[in-house]
Amino acid sequence: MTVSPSILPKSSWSLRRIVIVAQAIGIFIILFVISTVVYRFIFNAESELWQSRQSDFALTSARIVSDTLEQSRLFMDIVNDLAYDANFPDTVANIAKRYKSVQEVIVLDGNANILASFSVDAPVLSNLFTIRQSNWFLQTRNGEKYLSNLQFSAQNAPYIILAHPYEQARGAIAIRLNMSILNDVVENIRFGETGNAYLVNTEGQILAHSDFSVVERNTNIANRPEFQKALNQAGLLFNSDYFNFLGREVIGTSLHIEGTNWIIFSEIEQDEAYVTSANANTLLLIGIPTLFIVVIGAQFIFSQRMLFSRLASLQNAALKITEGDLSVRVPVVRIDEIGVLAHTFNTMTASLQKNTEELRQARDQAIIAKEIAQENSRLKSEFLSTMSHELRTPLNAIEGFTGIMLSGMGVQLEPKARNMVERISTNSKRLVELVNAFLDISRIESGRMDLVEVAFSPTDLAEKWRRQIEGLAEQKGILFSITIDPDLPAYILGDDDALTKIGQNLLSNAIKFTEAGRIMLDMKRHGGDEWQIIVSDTGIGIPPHAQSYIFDEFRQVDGSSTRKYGGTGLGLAIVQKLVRLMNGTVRVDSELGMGSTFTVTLPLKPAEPQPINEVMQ
Amino acid sequence: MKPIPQDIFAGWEVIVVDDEIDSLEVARYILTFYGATVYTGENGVEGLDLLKTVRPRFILSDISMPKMDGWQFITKIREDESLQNIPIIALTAHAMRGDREKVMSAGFHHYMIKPLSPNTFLEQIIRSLMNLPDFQHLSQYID
Repeated sequence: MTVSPSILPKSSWSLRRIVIVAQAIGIFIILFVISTVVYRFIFNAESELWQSRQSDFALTSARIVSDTLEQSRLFMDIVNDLAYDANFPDTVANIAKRYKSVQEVIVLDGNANILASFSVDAPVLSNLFTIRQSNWFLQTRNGEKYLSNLQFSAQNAPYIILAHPYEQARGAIAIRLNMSILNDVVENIRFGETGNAYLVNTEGQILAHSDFSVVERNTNIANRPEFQKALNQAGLLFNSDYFNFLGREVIGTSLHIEGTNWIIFSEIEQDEAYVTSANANTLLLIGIPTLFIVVIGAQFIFSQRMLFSRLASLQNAALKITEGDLSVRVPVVRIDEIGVLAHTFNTMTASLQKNTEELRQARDQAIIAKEIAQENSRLKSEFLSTMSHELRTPLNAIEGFTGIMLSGMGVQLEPKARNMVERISTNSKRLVELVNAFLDISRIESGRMDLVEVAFSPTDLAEKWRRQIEGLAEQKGILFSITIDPDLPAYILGDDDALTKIGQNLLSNAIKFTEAGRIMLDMKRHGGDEWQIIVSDTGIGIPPHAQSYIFDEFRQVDGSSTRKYGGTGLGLAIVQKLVRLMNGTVRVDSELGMGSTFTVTLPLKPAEPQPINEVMQ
Repeated sequence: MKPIPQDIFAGWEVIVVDDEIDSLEVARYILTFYGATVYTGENGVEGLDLLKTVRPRFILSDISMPKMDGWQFITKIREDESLQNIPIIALTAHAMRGDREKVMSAGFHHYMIKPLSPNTFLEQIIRSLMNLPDFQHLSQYID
């Protein structure tokens, strides 16, 4: 069993590829979203954490700075409230010693006369030549408070000057604050590795920084964007990402310190601030692809084992079945959709195998039966052939010798002997007829009479029959006439040998049962697609009751007629069987004493004129 | 058929081959009666032997014979250039359908089925020969 597989169009994307790619895209999107959300969450949390911590530091710093200034102011308030007496300078010095940030103090009257002064180092404020022109003195004498920018001493120590009016003498109280102390405060504000704070005034000058050299260099950040933003924002400002004046990428918080023109900055480098986010990012960058590969790989292996390898085994099995191997079975790994399919497939294949096996057996049996039938038929045919041969051979000797004795070929017989030899000859002829008729019947009944179709001329056929029958008719003094219908085609397709047997039998019967008168052979067209062979005689006729059985084997009108008229009793049976083989009919019309008419009606198959050699018989 | 003169085959040499001695005798008797010199053989081998010395006007041969049957016999004859023009008539008891076609295609000039009466035997021989170039005079005896 071979089936040529129909050609599939060029394959589209395989199911496996679609599934894997679709899963990969899906998983990638899910992982990407998850990792983005996680990263954003961590980043925001960290950002908020630093925002809040820095705000705390800024507020703390601002409070410390405020406190320092507040204490300085408190000190000046105390001095202002002191009674001016002889002890005043000493009292001022003693109180000043208790304020660590106050390095120098000077109290003046309205004419810039020094009422008291104290300094822990070289005095800066008590230079009588500069006092009268100094801003702090001029501003304070008008009743205003004064806060100077950062200034540096000869020793390069930063300081600022605070001045209040001295109300008792319409003068001024001025103090020099050591900004190193503010630096100490700022210095103490440290968080993490890089977190620090610095103090800037509204003109951009850095007043305090954990790195003191920044202050010493008198650094100004008035042009920095972060400073501009801080300047325009009252209160707290969180700036999540910028480069500070040192070129570091930081996050920072700025805060105006109340009561001053100072801003405190609290900064931490981004690398440190977002270290968790960065770590998470790194983890996600490495982890997500790894997870992706692992999930896809697992998915691939899983779908391979659960789906594609099983589909492939189904496909292989189907292919083998197409090639004719019906013994193939698909393993049922587990009972799921594919398992059920495989089971159904196996059931189907088993059923197919069983059916095919049964069909094969039936076919083998049919072949054997056919061979037996053929062999039987062959043996039968061989038997017929052998029997025919073996009967004819001795008959030939009998026919030959009796013929020689009776036909005057140099053999003289006494009348008595001649009579006996004539009887032998008559019986011999009957035997020959019987053998021929017998073989004809056997051949027809065993289905070995295969009719052939050749083109023959009806006229020639009738002429041939005439030659065969004429002698007998002459002997009995009977007229014999032939009529051929001009409408009959010149050539007809048919089995001329079989037709000759029909014609011979009918004509010899006609002669046999006719003592005087005539016999006629008519061949004529009958309707559009039939033709007829009509043999009629003026003989004894057939009684109506006998007309029904004269076509049976060994039946003549009555038992005595065989002896009286001779013949085998098989002639009409042969005629009828042959006519039926040719899909025709034979009919008898007879009136007792008037004669009989046998009409053979056959399908008409006109043939192209093709001259064939007339076979001589 | 018109009366056949007894000298119709006078001066003819004829070979008859048949393993049935009675059939052989009938044929020999009839042909001899009509003037022929008849040489007989019981199989194809004997027929070929006769052909070494005899050039017959025609040959009459059975089909089923021991040693060498009619098929082999005619094949051997047709292989010999010098024997091409000798008519060979099959005389056989094989009367099954299809036998005639087989016989004719093997190269026989005619096919006669046993049993035959002497008259039919004679008529068939004359009919089969009279269409051949050397035997056209025979047609005068046929109506």
